[in-house]
Amino acid sequence: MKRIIFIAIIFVALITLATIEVISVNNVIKHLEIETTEIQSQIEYNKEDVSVVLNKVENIKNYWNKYENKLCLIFNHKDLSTITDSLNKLSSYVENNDYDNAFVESNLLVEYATKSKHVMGFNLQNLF
Amino acid sequence: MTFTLIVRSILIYFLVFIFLRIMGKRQIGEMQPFELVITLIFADLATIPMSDTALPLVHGIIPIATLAIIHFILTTLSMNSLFFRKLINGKPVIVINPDGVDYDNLSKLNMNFNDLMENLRGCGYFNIEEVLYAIVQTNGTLTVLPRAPYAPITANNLKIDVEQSSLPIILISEGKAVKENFKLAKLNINFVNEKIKDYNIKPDDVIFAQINNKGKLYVQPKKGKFILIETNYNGDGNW
Repeated sequence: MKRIIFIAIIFVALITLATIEVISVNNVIKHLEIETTEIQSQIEYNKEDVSVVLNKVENIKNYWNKYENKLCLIFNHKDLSTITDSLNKLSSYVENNDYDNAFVESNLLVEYATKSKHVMGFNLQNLF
Repeated sequence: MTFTLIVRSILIYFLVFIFLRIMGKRQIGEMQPFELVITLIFADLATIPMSDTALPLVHGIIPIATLAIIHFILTTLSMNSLFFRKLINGKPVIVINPDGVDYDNLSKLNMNFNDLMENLRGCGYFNIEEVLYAIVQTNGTLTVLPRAPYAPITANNLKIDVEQSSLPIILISEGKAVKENFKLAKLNINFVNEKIKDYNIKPDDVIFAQINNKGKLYVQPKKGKFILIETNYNGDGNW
């Protein structure tokens, strides 16, 4: 009986963890994806003065910093630091009005966000 | 980084320890094939997140917990259903019968005569003709039923009445009184102290003591030879 209780607790804990992960990670990554896609299009639109997106970049940076520690519990730390590095680079390029690098970095960020969503998701590609 | 690795190692150690305890004692003793598989995977799963700090600990915890659940389901199925027991554990195979070695069965088990003889010798039989039946159990161990002339003689064979002995109970271990055993035997430490007084042994010098239900008290002092004391204790039918 004790074993059944232990196993039931483990099972419920696993399912709870998996559900929380799916919901919270999806929310954070989805938000990151939407914001970075918007930043990317704004950078492309404001070629002459990319610093107009500085506020947006700072906001997404703060948002990411807020959730990074929590994501560390379930995410590979290297993948997380790649996004952090990329956000820092983008912020610096935007601040210096460096269109070429800012555009490349924003593209990379969108890619990282999309990739993270696929890596974390429950799909056939991840199963095999 | 070093602190992280130390803490991770401690966490993983206790995690694997807890899961092995939940999975039952058989896990560390004689294993069935599926238990061996789980133990092998366990070892690998535990070491990866232990040393790779880039990986979250849950990457080790989740697979281990999942395997523990699978193991529980498989053991429950094999306990409750004969069909599943056969499917999961396999069935014992007779490799020696009264006609001799069943070579077909031996081949099915990927065993050769050397393996068979090695196992027979391990069971204490050096001549194959001494064996009536030899069975390879599902956990890979060989059990042997010898032919009558080679079977060990028992009191029953000789028609001798032998008094049933009981399991001795440990009263003092490593110099410390085992309280629950004293309670079980309905004795107290003064009983031992009284008995050893005549042998010039101080209570602090006793490193080990046990008693059986015939009242035989075995006392091992820290230094010197053990002493066997006959007492009038009869176990009181306590164990």
